Amino acid sequence: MPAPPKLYRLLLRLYPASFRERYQGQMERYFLDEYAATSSAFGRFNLWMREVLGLATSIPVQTAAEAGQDLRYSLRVYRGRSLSAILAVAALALAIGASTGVFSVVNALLLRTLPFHDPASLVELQRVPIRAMTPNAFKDWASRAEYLSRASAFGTSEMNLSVERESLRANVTETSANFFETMGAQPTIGRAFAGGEDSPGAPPVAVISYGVWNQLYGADSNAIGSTLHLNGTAATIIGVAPPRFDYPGKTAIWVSTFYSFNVIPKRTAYGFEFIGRLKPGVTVAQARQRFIAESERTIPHGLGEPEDSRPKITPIRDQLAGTVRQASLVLSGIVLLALLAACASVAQLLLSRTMERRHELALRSALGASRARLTQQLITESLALTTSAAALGMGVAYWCSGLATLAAPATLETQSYSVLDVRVLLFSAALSVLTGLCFGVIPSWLLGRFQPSAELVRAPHGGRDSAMGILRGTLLTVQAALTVTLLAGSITMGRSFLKMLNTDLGFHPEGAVTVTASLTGSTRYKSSSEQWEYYNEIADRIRKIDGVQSAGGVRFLPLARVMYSAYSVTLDTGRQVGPVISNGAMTGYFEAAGIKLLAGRDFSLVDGTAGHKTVIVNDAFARQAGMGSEIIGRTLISPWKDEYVVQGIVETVRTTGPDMPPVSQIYWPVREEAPGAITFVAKVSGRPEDSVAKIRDVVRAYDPGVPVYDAKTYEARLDEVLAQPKFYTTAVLFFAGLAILLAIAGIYGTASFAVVQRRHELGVRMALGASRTKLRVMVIRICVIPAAIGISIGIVASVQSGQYLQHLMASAQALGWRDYSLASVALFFAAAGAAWVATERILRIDPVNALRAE
Amino acid sequence: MSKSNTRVVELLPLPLPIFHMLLSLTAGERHGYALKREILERTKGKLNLAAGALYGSINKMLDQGLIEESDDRPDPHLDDERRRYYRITPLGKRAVEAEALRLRELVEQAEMRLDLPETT
Repeated sequence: MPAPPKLYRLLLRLYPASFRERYQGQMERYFLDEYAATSSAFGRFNLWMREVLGLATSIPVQTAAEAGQDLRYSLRVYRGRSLSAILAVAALALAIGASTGVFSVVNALLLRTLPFHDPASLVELQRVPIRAMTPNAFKDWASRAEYLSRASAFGTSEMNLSVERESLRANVTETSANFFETMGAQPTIGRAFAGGEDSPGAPPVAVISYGVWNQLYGADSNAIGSTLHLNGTAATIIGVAPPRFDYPGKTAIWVSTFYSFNVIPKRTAYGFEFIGRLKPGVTVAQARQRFIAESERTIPHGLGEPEDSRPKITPIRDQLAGTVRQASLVLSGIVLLALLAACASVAQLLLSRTMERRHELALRSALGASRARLTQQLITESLALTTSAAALGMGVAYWCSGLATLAAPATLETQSYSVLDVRVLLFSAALSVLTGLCFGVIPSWLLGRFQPSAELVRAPHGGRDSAMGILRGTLLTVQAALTVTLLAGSITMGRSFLKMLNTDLGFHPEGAVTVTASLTGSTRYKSSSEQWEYYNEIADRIRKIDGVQSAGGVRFLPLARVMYSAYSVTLDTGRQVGPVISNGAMTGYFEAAGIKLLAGRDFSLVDGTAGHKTVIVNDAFARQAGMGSEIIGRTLISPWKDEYVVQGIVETVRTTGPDMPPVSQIYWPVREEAPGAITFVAKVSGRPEDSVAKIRDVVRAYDPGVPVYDAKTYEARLDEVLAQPKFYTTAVLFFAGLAILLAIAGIYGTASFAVVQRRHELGVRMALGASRTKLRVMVIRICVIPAAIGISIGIVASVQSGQYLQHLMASAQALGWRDYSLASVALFFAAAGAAWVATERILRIDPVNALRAE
Repeated sequence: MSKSNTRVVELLPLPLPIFHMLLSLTAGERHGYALKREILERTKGKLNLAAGALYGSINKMLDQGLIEESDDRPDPHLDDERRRYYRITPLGKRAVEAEALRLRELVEQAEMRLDLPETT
């Protein structure tokens, strides 16, 4: 018999099973006939074109038709087993949904395109090797660096932005003139900075973000050429940045004042940042090597410094993703483990289902359904299961990405996490198809192992199938291993998180309200004494509000995200104390923030005036100085040779949050030198939430020209700091909980299935006089042995992977033996318990009935 | 009888390939490829059915009960055993007649309004 071309036969294989079985032979014959009837090359080409096109339209139609039939049949199958179907869909929905949610973060941070030209060649440079920050020095260096085609310098700070009568806080980046060229971004309207506009003395010009242009100018092109004020300094708007461009860090305004950064007054710590574009063909590794070699030559001591401030080149994508990058990858790993555990559990379930249906499948096979037809049926059934799980999982994914946005928001607008993204949706679809195929293929592989005729003769719940037993045991082992790994991890995370919650912060945010006012660049309050008058007046007004028990102001509120600069001071005993961070405080601040005064006295109104140069130190400072309360009255000398008398000791405060170690701290009276901004803290009676608006309005009403912001309860601020560790801990706990539930379900399923399957054997043994308890133990062993093997594998796996948890929570310590043993014991007892309950039905087996069934 | 009449109405209008295939089968049993050749000739090369469309239509007609597979086979020595022969069912016959009547009605309506040239 002549055979048609191989390619044609391959194409025919794409038809669904039923159709293929009916028509494959006829279609092959058809093709041979057609082929024989055409002799010219052109005719054969035409034949191929027509036939392939015909198949391309016909195959989807036939597939859809058969899938529809299979699906209706699947629904009938699942209706009969609704509990196990619901369990499987729920487990998969949670696991697929969580994976998709985490992937949406990975996608946003690591895969999505950035709004810059060729972001792969943009790098962030840390510690450029120049001695002084002058335009010429930097430009010289950039032109000499043979691996960079361009480099720009900038610094970002929060400023008071005033446009006509509106006043708000905005992130402002002061840049060198070539910033937009380096980034490869062109303003939407207007122009970018021109060459000389960054030279000292040139009038400041500004590019505003697309968002600011819309919000403050109503997208009016007349905005170009108008003036805005940054901390009181005027700048002319020359352009509007493209939509979604907000680098670095949600910048609203870019100004050309980098080299003359005294033009805009700033009082907060200020860091220089550098960005460069690599020359074509230069890799990041090559650039890094040359950059570090150059730094070694110019500033040799730079390499000995702590890692945070060493010379470094980082691809911009990594720098933008920051610590969330590691965290999201670790979380992906955890989610993947949970997904695998869910898959193992669903596979167990489908295996039981296939075994139960052996009789039915054998019957259908005897009635003429081919193996391919039955395989297709099983695959459709599992795909129906996993795709509906994936659809439900989208809800879970949406919720996850929302949580992630709260816990670890992205740096740039374009990086915001979203589930409705082509790549994320494809990921979810691929996951569901992959798991579905996996569950469809395993049972159908088993299907190939039984002979229809033999199956029919046998009773539906006949003897045992050893391959099936091994497969079930393996699945249980895998599941137990995954569960122990997840459990041990969650115990560690949970323990570290509880420790964080129980850490004494040194202050007591309960019942306190905070609000910040900024005078930076104010034209009305220029001198330090004018500003002090303002702050003091505000503090007085707050104290007079009903329900306020105490109030005071502070320069840097603990938990606020600021950079502290540290230095050393010398005591009159000659002892050096450092590193020390300093902060300005007003009368009543310590009381309002719940920071205990351990000795001495709080600031009064005279402290900080001439002849009253005093400071308050914290407990850690006194201890570092080797003293107790006798430090009061001693003199300390600042690096600038000013002398201060210590007038009090307060409790040590963890300034940036619970995971920060206690450091030495000095408080100076705000009266001595008023800072650009003060955060007021008021302790109120009753619910603090009720007083937030009242206090903010009082501060605003005194002078509406002063920006007043961040009015919230102190506890809300603490929640924000804890949001990230809380999110990660919850996530890990959630997956561990899911895994242990799935493991219990899996073991219960295996044990009860073993009882059903071995009914006959159990009956025989019973008839021969075996005790029921002994039989129960026999069945339990079937489940508990694989679980125990899995537990040991899981312990080894978690020893290997425990260190990665530190990317989620810095304070998470490596796993200890307590974690493993706790996790193992918990799982072991859960397994044994589930098996014990499942084997209860052995007690109800009547040996006579069991034997008669055969 | 009235039940199968309603079935015929539900089947109309017949897709063009199905109409042609039923038309050919009224003359006797055919295998798939023979149907294709006959239709190609009758339509003067205008309807050239590819295998996908041909057997897709056959499958549909079998499902709808318009045709059935024939057990009578020519001498196996003369024919490829992969071939299957089909014959029209009474329902199929009624359907193709109803479709032809439907088409005639359409043409008559068109002729009343349009000034069509005589066909040879």
